[in-house]
This record gives sequence, structure tokens and C-alpha cells, in this order.
Amino acid sequence: MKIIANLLSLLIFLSANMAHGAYCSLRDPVTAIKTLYHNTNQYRSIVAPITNKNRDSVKDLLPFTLHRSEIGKHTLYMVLDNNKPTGFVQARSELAEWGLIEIAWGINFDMTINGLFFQRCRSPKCNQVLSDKLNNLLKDRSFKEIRDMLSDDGTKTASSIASKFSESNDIALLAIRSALKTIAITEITWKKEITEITGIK
Amino acid sequence: MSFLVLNRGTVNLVTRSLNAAYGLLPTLILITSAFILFNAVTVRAETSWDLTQNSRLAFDISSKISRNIDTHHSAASHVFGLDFHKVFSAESGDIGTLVFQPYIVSLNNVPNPPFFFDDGEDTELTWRIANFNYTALSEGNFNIRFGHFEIPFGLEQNLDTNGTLRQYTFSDRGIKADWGISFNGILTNLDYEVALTRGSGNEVKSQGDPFIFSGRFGTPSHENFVVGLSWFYGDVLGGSGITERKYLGLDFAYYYHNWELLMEVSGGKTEQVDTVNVLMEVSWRSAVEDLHLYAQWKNSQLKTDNDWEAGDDFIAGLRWFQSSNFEISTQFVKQLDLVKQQEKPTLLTLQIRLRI
Repeated sequence: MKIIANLLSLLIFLSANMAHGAYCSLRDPVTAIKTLYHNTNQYRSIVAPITNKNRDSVKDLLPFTLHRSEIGKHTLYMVLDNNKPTGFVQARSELAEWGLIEIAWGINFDMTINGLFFQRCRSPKCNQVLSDKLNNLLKDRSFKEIRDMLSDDGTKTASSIASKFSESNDIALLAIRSALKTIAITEITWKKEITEITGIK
Repeated sequence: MSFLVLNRGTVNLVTRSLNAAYGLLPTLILITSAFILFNAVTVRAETSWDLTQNSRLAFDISSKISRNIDTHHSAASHVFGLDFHKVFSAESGDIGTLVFQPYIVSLNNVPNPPFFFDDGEDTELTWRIANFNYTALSEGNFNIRFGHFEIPFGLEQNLDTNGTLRQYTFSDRGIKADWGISFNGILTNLDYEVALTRGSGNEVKSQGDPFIFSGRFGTPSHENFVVGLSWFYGDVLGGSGITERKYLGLDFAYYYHNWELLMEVSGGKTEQVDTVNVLMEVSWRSAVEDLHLYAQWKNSQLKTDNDWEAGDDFIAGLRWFQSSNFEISTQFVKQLDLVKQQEKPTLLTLQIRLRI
């Protein structure tokens, strides 16, 4: 019994810092790419590991960071239009009080936000009206501009934002935090590839 | 297109010879594979064939113990598998995705094992998913998949149940995954997959010339209310030979906060006997999704001598994720009513699963 217990402890330890689902369930965000880039659906996957070090680097930029379960391999999609790179898409999961919300983010070459698409949100609040409002708020906004939409500790939206979203302010807060994490982790993890593609250093 | 440079006469000759030697389906798969490979090598010569690039690899290890509450009989199965996922890309975009999942399954004291095992103490190489989905044709609208994949029917199409205790209705059709070819895609308001497969499940066997023509058209799977229409038509190879099966199915999924409601209704014929199957499931996940509780009710109806006979099963289970890679699941299955005197055991099952 002791051997089994030790073996189980070892297996649990080995698994603690890895994040995988069964890979047959992985799906490309085809609908999100079509929606964010107006029916352009040519894309190239760039898979890279998000490490604990990357996670700590996000923490240096923000008062919050990625969840431990987000450590592991993730895909950045480079969107192409007539074979020319036109932007990026990355999906991120955020923890709401009833479960995970998955948002696909369109990112411009200058690391401003192109738009968002709810890939999974199990609340009726995540409707087209809210999606349009968030897209209007965040489109072409930079990391710094989006950071200013939150309180200093990052736990609340600024009062001007809160008044715009009223009942959906909880989701707006999640989306704004997600946008910041997405820009930060994209720049940190795919820095080399982004520089090669865009020529922007 | 590059494949047009091939001489048409040669193609016809090769096709006819393969068809005569192996039958229609293997020929179709071979020709499609050759076309895709030829297309990938010539038109997309810049493709990276480095298997470590854009890839993910995990080892999947699990053990399952089942206890028959009525007879006090215990059975176990132990699984060791490889889960490999790679996206092949060129400068001009993704070409396709390879999923490769060979699993060694070892049985211990298992009564009535699947027919490709010799007996309840056997160890076999099994295939969960092993296919290549060629996605470079029409920007995700029209893809070609070939290899071993889940039959596109009902709820199974969108919800992954591979290697889990929680299952839906594949047992009604006698097959979960099969070797073959499919056309699939994601359109603006429609997800679809249409498949022609061998009908033999784990192994490519031609005994009795089985086949399955199946497909599902559904509303987008990212929405909170999803509806799908499926069909299943074919001769399925099982332990007792070929069974003719024809079904139409309708599936629904509704998500609200922590709750998930699923339903699948299918009707058709099994060996000329009218059959109706219904599955309903209600489930709840914790906010961080480390706990999943579910309850299922399954109803099967057969028409015998102008009368319908109904059987019901109740299933309850839970999955607990200690981390994203280690999980413990348990499930209880109880037959409520018998159909055609087919008595099923009351089972309590425990599974531990690790992915590293």
C-alpha cells in the first residue's frame, strides 16, 4: 500500500505543473477568425509553451497574471489575407463565478486590440449587444489605454466604464483583464515570431 | 492544381486495380491520401515536416475497476497511450492537423470484452483517434479527414468522451470510432461532417464487407444552444458478425452558467426491428471546473409483434480533477427496466487517469 501511495504522490507531483486536455478535443477558432477578420479565414498556427517564467513576466506588468492551469502549450494564429499576414488571434480562458469564459482576441501588429469574440460564455449576458459594446470600447486600444480602464489594483473597472456596462460590468471587467493578459503574454511568449512577421521590434 | 499533371489513363488504371484488390472504401482512402500527400509536397513545398514543431505530446495512463453489485464480480482494465497532436503549416497557412492516439489496453477478468479482444484477460493495441485532417482546401469550410475518427452522430460529435467513464449513445449503434474518410467544415452558421467508414471499428477488417455512411449537420458549437441532425446507415461488424443499422438522430445541448442539459433522440431500424433511443443528461460543473457531476437517463424501445417494449437505464457519475492532468472518476449504472429480457449488471466503476 505504501508503494502505491508513494507512486500516486509521484504521479500527482509530476502532473501538477502541466496543462493538457485530450488533444483530439482541440479546435481551431475558425468562426472567431472569420468574424474578427471579416471572412478572412486563412491562418497559420504558431504553437509555443507558456512557462512559469512567462507567467511571472506578466505579473511584472500587471497586478494579476495567468492562472497556473494556463501553463503549457498554446497556439497563436497568424491571420493571412491573400497570403499576406494581417493580424493575430489568440484564445484565452477567464474564470467567471459560474465557470470559464473563453474569449478569442484579434490582435493588430502594433499589439493593439482588433476585436473580441466569445467562444464560450455560458451566461445569457454574453450576447451580441455586449459583444458590440466591448468591441467598440477596446478596438485599436493599446495596453496602456486598456490598463487605464481598470483601478490601480486591477480588481474594478474605472467608474466611466462601470456606468457604461451596468449589469454586465462583471463580464466587462473580465474582458478588460483578459485583453491585458493577452497582449502581455503574446508579446512575451511569441516575441521572436512577431518581430519576424511584422518587422516591428 | 498539381494533381492534374498526372496522366488520366494512369490514374484510371491504378484506381481500377486498387478497387478490384481492396474494395471501394480502402481505394477511396488510398487515392485521397495520395492526392493530399502529392498536393502537400508539390504545391506547398515549403511545408515543415519537423514533427517537434507546432506539436503537442502527452502520455495517457489510466486504470479502471468495475464492480458488479449483483454478482460481486470485479473487473479491471489498464490503459497506456500516446496522445500526439501536430499542425502542419507552410508560410501560406496551415495545411492540416495530425492526431495520433495509439493505446495499449490490458484487460483483467473482464466479462464480455469488445470483440477485437481474444478474451477478458487479453492485451491489445487499440486506436482512439488517429487521423489527418487536411484543412488547406477552403479555409476551414471544406476539409478532408482520413484515418480513425469518431463516427459523426449525435452528441459525440462535439463533446469529447474518449477515455472517460461518461459516455453517450455509441453503444446503441455498436461502434464509436472507425477507419475511413470524411468531409467536414465550419461555416458561418453550420458545423458539418459527413463520413464513409469501414464499419469494423478498431481494426480494418473486411469480413462481411461492412460499411457505415454517417454524418451530422449542426448549429455552431460555441453557442449556448446547439442543435444537430445526424444519420447513420450501414452494416456494422461486431462479435456476432454484421448488424444492419439505420438511424436518424436529433441532438440538443443547452448551457446555462454551471449547468449543462443534453438530449439525443434517435430512431430507425436494427436488423429490420424498429428502434427508438433517448438519452437525457443533466450535469453541473464547479466554477473552476475541477468537479463535474452528471446524471443520465437512457431509454431504449424495440418494436416486437406490433408492440413497443421499453428499457431504461439510470447513470450517475462524477469527475474530479486534482490538477489539469490527474483525475478520479466514478460512475454508477443501474438498469431500471429490461428490454427483450436483456439483463444488464448494476455496475460501480472507479477510474484514475493521469496525463503527463
